[in-house]
Amino acid sequence: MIGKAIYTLLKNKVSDLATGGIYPVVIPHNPNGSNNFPAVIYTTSIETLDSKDEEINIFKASVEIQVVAETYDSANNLSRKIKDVLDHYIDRERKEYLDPIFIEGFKTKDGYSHNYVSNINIDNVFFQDNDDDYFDDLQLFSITTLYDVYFYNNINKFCFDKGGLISNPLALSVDATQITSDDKGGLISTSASVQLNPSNTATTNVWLNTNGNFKGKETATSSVSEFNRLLAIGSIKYINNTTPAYLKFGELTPFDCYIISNLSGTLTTLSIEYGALFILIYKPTTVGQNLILGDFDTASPYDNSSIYLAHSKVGSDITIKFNPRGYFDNFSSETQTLITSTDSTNYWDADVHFMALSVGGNKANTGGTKNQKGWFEYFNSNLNPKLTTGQIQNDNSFAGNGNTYSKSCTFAGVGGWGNITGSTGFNMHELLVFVPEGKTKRNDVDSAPFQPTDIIYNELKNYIYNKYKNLK
Amino acid sequence: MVGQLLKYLLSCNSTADDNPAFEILEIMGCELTSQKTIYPNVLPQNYGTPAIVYTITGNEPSKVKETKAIATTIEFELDIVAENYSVVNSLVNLIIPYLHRYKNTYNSANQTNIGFGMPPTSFGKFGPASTGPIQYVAGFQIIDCFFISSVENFDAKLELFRNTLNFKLTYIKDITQFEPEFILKLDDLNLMSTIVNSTDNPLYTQPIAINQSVNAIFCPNLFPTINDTLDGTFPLFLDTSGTSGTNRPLLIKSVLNPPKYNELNALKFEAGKFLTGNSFLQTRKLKEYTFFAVFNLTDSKSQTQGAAFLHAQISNSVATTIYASTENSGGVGGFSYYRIKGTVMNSTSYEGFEIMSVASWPLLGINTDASFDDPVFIAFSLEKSNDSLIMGEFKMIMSSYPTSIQNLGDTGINQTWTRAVANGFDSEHLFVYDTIHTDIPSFDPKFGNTTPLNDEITIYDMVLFNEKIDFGTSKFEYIKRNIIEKHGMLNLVE
Repeated sequence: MIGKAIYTLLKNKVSDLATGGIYPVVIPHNPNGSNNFPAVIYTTSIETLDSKDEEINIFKASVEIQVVAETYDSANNLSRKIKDVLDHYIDRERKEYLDPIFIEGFKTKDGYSHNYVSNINIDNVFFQDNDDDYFDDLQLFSITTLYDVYFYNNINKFCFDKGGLISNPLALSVDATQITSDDKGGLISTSASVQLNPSNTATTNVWLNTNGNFKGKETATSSVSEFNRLLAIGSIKYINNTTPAYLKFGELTPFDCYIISNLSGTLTTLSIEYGALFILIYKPTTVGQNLILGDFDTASPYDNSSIYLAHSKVGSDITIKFNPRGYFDNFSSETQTLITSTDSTNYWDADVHFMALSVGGNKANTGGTKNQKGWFEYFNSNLNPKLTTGQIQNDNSFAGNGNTYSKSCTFAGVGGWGNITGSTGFNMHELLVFVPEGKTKRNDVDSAPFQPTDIIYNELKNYIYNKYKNLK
Repeated sequence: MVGQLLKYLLSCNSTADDNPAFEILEIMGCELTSQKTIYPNVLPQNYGTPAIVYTITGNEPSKVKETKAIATTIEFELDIVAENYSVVNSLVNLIIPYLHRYKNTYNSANQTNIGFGMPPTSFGKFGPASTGPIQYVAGFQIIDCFFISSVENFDAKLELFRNTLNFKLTYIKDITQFEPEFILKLDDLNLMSTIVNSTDNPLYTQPIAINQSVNAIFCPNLFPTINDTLDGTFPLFLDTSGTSGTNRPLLIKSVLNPPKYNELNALKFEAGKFLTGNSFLQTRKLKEYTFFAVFNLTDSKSQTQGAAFLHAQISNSVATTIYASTENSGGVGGFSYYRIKGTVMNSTSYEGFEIMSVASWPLLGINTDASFDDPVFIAFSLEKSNDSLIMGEFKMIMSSYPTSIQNLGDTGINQTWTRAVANGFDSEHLFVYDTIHTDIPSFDPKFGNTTPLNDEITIYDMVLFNEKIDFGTSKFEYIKRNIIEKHGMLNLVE
């Protein structure tokens, strides 16, 4: 949790520590041969702050940073540099997208400060105390400094780093709802090269991933690589004169999509051959087809094998459906319809819509017999039946298909290529994409790696309920 | 007990795919094995990590006047231990949100094994879906659980990273702390489900509303251990007719008209309605028991009738039951008898007994106000003295003001009863039950005249213990008080 952010901050903001020498809790025995010191050891303890909300919004961490060195001067010098960075930590530095970790922070209209360090969103850091010591037996000087760190307990905490290669489970977290104190979109940019936050009605080009860069595979057969910390190529209007703020898809063709890109800036896909969970907060606005999930592929056969999800209204017929192989017309036998209705009040008109789509992997990769077996949960600000997990499993599950694909399923992004497979109009507030570390360890290898009974899913719904009050 | 709860919360004792603790167990590498690396107080040697060690560090009962605590708050620590710092962090990131303001959101989709709650396990099996503020888990009624703090550490001897999480957990201390066979808790509508439309699934239409029919009622406790397959399972009573709702009773709320009626919820079993207990409940045989109930029989002053509280038709020739009956001579001011009776099984058949009998003859001024029309509290115990004698104690409080009935009311005086039949009680186990109320219209009680058992009865409270509780002990008095206080029967004595 906060330990990862402290490590990242020190490593990237204190030049003396750029090559390491930072350890959690305890320093390993002789980690760098003759070059062990100065070294930094950090220890954290967390406590809750009073909150009327079910979810704690802000945690307070007491962080003890101990600098150990062979000379007092060395210890003092490094400790001071650390203090310069951490005390009242603010990051308003304009970022180029080459920066893999940091997003330009901002203060919201209600006065809260947001400073993004990888997947951790820091409110503030306060120096509290320091203490000198000398270890006679080791002949080492020590300066221990105590900081109070206030950080947001948001859903991004589920971007674990267990030493695995894939960033998981939360790989992508993009959010259009954050409005800065000067009325701009805090996590969106109008520039394709540098972070420039948009004003209301501005056309945007980049939607930032608040987890920073993340690792995954572009396709099932490719090796693990690093993805850029953004969704790119969009020409999407940003609207914040009503809240929650949103990106308005379906107006500006052909760049009517936001797509994953790799470190080279090339639009690509994220392999979800072992399944994924998508959380979409949106609102369909214009009658017709709306590709909430889609692809950038511009020509037939549209064969990126990217997952599509549409919330459409044709006449009075409302349909929510997805396809794990690509565009619906091209792979009709794999289309899975989730909801059909003519009830506009309950399935179209609502101000905010929630869709959780959880799919299993490809049988070729899982060793099972089905592709994209899974479940979904849908509700909105007009209709919220508060399904129990049993109801979701019983009523909202789908068995997947047994077809053989030429490619395993991928995720490309939000929206579609406007001229060919675009959308008539929808507003997008937030998108979360969860991917597993590998093949599911559940008994049923076909099952989706993320289940409605999971801690992550329950926590995610708490997060959504707290944030979007009219969904509660 | 609390330790068992903590282990249950962290593992659900399950290898099921939809185990709510799956992600925790997956990181610990024990998601598909029955042996979970979750230990009390101390990490065992040579068992491997990651592991969780739980320790209860404080226990603070809620202080209330005159009676036992109604709730208890415990503080507990979870030591998350692993060789790798990031593994500890991942577990911490799951466990804090899981336990902080804990909600048991799990609800089974399994319709063949009727039951809700956590995945099937031996302990805590088929718990109610917690659709309200109280979380029913492993026999505990959790009011709140919240995270206080965490501290990182490194165990230099074991060379393990450790993060110690501190939590507080508050749970209700009511009659369930004495481990009853079952207790009906009718004040929580989240413990009952119904079917409104023919297509509804009774697993999910929870909570119920007043004046809806009850397709299933879940108990807040677990069956105590008697070496039976149902040990550790949540008791459940349901209408086995399914969507037709043929057998289900009605949930009603009494009007606020104290002292007899206090706006309390009750199950109104119309004639022939009944709810059936868990599968295999008949295998659960009791040697002795203590029974508590508050009930009333409609028109008991004017009609001869009988209604079972609990019943089991074990075979054509064997049935065990507990029932209330009335006999009336008819006419204004005629005499009536109000009786609590039952049967127990023996090696070949069954034998009847009578706990108490109150005679009323208004014409002669005898117990003029006595009746089963208004709520009546009964408590009695039953044990075997020898193969020819069963016995116990009893207490009855009639809210119809039994001013002339000596020693009835909440007097502090408990009475005894006996029933002697040569070799009438020669089996080790005496009592079995599998339905609340019954549809049996004519029953040979083996002690007195044939009686119906299916007449209408309204049940406000019912608790059964699989032990003989000595009347007058603090345990008995607590249970009695817990039941009668809300009915305005406390110290209802003349």
